[in-house]
Amino acid sequence: MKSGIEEEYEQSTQKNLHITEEKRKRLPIWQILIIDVLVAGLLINVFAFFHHVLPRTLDGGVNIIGKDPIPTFELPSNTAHPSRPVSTPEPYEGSKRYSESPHKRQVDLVETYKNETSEVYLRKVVIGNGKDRITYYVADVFVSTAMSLKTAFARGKYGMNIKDDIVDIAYDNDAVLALSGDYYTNNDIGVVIRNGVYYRSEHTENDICVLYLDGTMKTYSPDEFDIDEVLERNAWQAWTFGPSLLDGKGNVLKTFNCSSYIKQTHPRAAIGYVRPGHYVLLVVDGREEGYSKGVDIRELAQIMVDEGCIVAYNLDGGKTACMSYDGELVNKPAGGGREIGDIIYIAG
Amino acid sequence: MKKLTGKIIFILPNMVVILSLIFITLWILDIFNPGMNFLGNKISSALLIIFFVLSLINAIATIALERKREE
Repeated sequence: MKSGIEEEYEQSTQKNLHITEEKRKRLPIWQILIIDVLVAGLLINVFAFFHHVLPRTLDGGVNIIGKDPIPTFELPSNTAHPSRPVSTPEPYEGSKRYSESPHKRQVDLVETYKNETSEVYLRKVVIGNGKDRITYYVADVFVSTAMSLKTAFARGKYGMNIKDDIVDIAYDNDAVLALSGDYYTNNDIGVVIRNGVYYRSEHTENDICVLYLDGTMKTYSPDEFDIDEVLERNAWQAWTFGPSLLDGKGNVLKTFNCSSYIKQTHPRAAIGYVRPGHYVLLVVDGREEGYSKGVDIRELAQIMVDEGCIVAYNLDGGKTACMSYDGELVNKPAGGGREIGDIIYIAG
Repeated sequence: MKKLTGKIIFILPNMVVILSLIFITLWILDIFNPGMNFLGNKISSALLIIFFVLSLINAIATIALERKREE
């Protein structure tokens, strides 16, 4: 028979042994944390796959174009006194603006294109020298109706993560000139109206740009935007990226509705409005010292002013910013570029 | 039952740590590219709800265990 002290000792020894065994089984905290970090990394990759990679076709939109007559606009070559000789590289109605600008530019007319419904004047512009050099391509686009300024989705499908090369999207749509769009396919927020078809209007903190069938273009802050009003006015296109660059009278905005990262120097794509029937499609190359450093958001806004725009809107930039003409890439996208979700184009 | 509870109590804080790391990463990505909507999309929203629920259970379990230990 064991005494009370012996029993207590035995119990205590067993307890200690049990604790030691448990301790031996347990991993040190730093190892557990490393495992947690690895699991988190794995889950982020799974998230990225579903959010960023896996293509998903979404339901088609609703046609919103009514039967109202569509306004038509004169093309420059049809006017009795064209104010812009086609052979000069100066921007249409904009030579004064260039001369007013403090930046000295080297301007070359790269391509011109005309058909019955549209005219395109594509110029290459270089500002500055050395590491401050900026190179951009700007297309003055004239259309007889706003319907000639078209958009297209990659692979002809509306959805998430559906991407393609700009040249291939342009080819599929018989586009003579194409500019990368707002990359709507990378998220499920914002407003998407394309070629008079309404796809979505989800809450966004970004500015929104709308091209109406009457040829006018307007940018909206998220608070101003009213989808019912926009649909009623016969919207032809709507993009969500931003920010809006000008105040609607041709002045650079004092503040821009975007993150500090977007405000920094990057390659850029932008669309501008001069008057109904006259639009500016622009791509600024960047991230290549000596060729083009890119521009910050204020510099981009100033370029759009210099190009004669009264409304201008920043589209997706960085590697996305690209332009194609007649089946060939016009600019030099940063890092070789990337596949994109949509284009703005003029059909050939 | 006790074993299962013990395992859950061990796993719970780790899941909270993992989800916290995921959200810190998404938050940083969102600063650089808010247009991608890293924090506001459907997957993130679902993960956020899971994160809230797990944090709540974890907090309640911690309080309960602390009480038991004191008793």
